[in-house]
Amino acid sequence: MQASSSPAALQQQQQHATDTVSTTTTTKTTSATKALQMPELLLQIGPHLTVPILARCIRVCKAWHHLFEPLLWQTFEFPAAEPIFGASPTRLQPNPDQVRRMASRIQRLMFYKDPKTSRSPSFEYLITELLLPDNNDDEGTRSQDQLTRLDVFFTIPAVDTLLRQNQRSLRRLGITSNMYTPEVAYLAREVLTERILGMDRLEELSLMRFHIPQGPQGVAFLETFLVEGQEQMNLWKACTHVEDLTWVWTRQPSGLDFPITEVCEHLARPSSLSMVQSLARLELNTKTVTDKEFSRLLELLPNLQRVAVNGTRFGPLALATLLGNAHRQSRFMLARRSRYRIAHGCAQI
Amino acid sequence: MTVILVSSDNQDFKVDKEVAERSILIKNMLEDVGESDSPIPLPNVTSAVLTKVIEYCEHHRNDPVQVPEETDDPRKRSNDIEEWDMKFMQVDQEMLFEIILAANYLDIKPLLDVGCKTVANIIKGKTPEEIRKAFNIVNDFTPEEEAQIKKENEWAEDR
Repeated sequence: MQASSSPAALQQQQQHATDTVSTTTTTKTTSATKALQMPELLLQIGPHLTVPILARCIRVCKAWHHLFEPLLWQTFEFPAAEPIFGASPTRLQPNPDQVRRMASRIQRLMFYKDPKTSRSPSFEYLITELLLPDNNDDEGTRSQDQLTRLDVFFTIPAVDTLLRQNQRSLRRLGITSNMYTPEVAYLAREVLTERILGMDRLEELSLMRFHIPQGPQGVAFLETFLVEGQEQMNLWKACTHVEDLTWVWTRQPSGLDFPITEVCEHLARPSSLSMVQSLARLELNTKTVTDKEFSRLLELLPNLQRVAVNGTRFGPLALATLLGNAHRQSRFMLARRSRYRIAHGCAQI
Repeated sequence: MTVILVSSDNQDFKVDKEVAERSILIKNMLEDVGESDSPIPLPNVTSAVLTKVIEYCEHHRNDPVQVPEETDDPRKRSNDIEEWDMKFMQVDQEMLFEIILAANYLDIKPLLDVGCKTVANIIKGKTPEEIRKAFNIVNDFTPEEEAQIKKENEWAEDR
């Protein structure tokens, strides 16, 4: 039962694990002992464990170390140099040898370190060892198309290499830039757009202070932060099957906000049918949209199941539309910092 | 239509075909033999465990067939367990692992998932020593090896 349907690699792991465990367990055989000797079961438990818990599990015994260490490295988050996104500024780092040994296991890489502000001495080393796999030759060699998730600062020199090498595997891509300078804008437009357009497995795209004019059609989750309103709109228009849209505006010079009139006009066109039909979740952070405008937007989006607004002037008209849409599955409504405090009233919709 | 399942201790269980087919193993067996009312022997499952498993399958008989979800994003992974399942899993540890082994053997993915989540929740708040104690696992590291692994992975416990 254990081995018949397993791939060869698993069988090997299994053999190894069984060897190690059987010499260590006591003579009393319980179901727990039996189950925990089965690597296939342990590997089912693994995905439910977070990184800190996995770090404790690999200290339990040799078999657990062997099985859980690769899982521990599947998701790797480089610590931020500065406390952005609420991350702690002084996190410990693994040693470079360990990184090199385990690099081939990493599938999801989150790298929120801005090289321009980083003062960490091992930073350059880690970049070359881990992010530029071409430089690795022996055991640490990373194959192409290994990463499924990548969240990075645009300014990291290796970004383009990483995107190129993982073009066929990436399912989520998040790019952040500290400053949207003309130089960044040029590179994004001229170099990266084409790269990103070629990512046929990409499902999630998250851009912060970073803009590309087009995205792959398959993107279902689109997040744009602090990008000029018109540009956010253009990207959404290009990704015609977005199911989950997050649109964030913040206190910035004018010109960044949600172009509600244009959005409504566009959605009302027959050619926008797929956009309208796809959109199920909308999170909107804007300051200028009025109750009446928001009501119109909700009218145009009958398939919305979840709406979260932040700062929008959500009022009685929008509420009425939403209630009218209730038969169309609008289920959840959050309204934070809105003029009308209706979050509780709508929670049951 | 009903089928008869026979536990390892030779007890017969009469269940609706629809309920029995929550188990992919049984479903495939039934498809292979076609129309037949011969009992299905389950030599790996005791009657106590089979009673529990059938209780689960009865409760979930109308659930849609689970699509194998590719949870790539750790944020989307959840250890949340439905209330009924949570109560169902309130059994002693021996029975918990019996159920997991049976779910694995009978190929009932949702039950296996609930079982694994329950085990993950037991592991969650524990130190390595407490995990060993809870599951009767012997530490086969030398003190030096253990210290080395701990030191190497301090960054991960800090996440």
